[in-house]
Amino acid sequence: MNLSNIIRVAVASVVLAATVGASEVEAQQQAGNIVIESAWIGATNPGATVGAGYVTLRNTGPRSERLTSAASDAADRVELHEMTVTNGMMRMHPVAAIEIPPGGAVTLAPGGLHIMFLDIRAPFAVGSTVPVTMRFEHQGDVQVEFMVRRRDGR
Amino acid sequence: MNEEIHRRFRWTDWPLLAIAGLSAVLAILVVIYFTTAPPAVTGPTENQFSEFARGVDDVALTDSNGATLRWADLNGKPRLVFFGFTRCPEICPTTVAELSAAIDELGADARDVEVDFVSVDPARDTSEHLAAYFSSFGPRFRGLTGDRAEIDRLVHSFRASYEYVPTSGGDYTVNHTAITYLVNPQGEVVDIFGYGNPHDRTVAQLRAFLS
Repeated sequence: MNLSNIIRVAVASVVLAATVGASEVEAQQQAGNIVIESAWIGATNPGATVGAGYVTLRNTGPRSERLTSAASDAADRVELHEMTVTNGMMRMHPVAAIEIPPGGAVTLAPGGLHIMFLDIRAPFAVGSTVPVTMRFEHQGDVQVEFMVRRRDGR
Repeated sequence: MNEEIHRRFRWTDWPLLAIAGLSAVLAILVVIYFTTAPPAVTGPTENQFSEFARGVDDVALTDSNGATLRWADLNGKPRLVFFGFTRCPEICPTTVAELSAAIDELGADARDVEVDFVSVDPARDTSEHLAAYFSSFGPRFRGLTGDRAEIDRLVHSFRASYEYVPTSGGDYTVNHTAITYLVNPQGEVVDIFGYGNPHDRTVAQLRAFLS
């Protein structure tokens, strides 16, 4: 193995380690009593003007916490929404806040609660990240990088 | 002796009589069950959705290229019909992605299938906008828009519904039926599945529909 190959392997190892490290950081993040897990956004179709983000919020503290709003430079407006499907009918409505009970967790996931991005500035492309400021009642503002993922799981 | 054979009826005989009576009733029911014609077998044209998509042949719509067409013009190929809108954050993009994945998985079996996404928000979903939205899914995905009145006729014929809901800043969102309708080349609805249908089930339903 010559020197350039050794350098190549070393660089690849560092890149790999950085990638693994980065994905772990994205998978879980702690801010005070709030643990933020698996923050992701569904990739959008060309020309789409809206998107939806999902995340699991864990409250390790002794008192109830509330996610009161979210903001992002990637969209004109960001709102907290809840979707329901009853008898084949999809309904959506904004929610004022999302409660995270002490010692409990709430999951924003397809088919239920989500962070709604309105008038996005550019399509959400698979593999990219979207910076979001999540505002909590007690914890205040927390910066979270949402990973853009395919919607069909492929 | 006579007394032994024709003993008087006693109250302890009642359970025996009850069993005999029930047996007789059961026997009669069994005879009725097997002599009555079984329920008519549901054929492809006599299914539970046979009343769907009737009387809409002349509904005028605009496709992604801006061309006007009638609903009946789309007959001739198996189609998957969905009502939605492009400012839909989840149901519509997920359904489009899911259908695309299922069609890819079916390969040659799904060669002819087309997907018709009918907008229930035609004021915002122009044909240009729909063309962009479906540009990465290939020509089998077709976005359709048009006059509200024409779209309403189609929506009602599929027993679907939608409603506009005001949101902040004078904006609105659309609540709508989240069902994919499987329409045969004759324009008849033969099967449906809803949002959240497991992927394997969607593939199985599409395979049965396309075979």
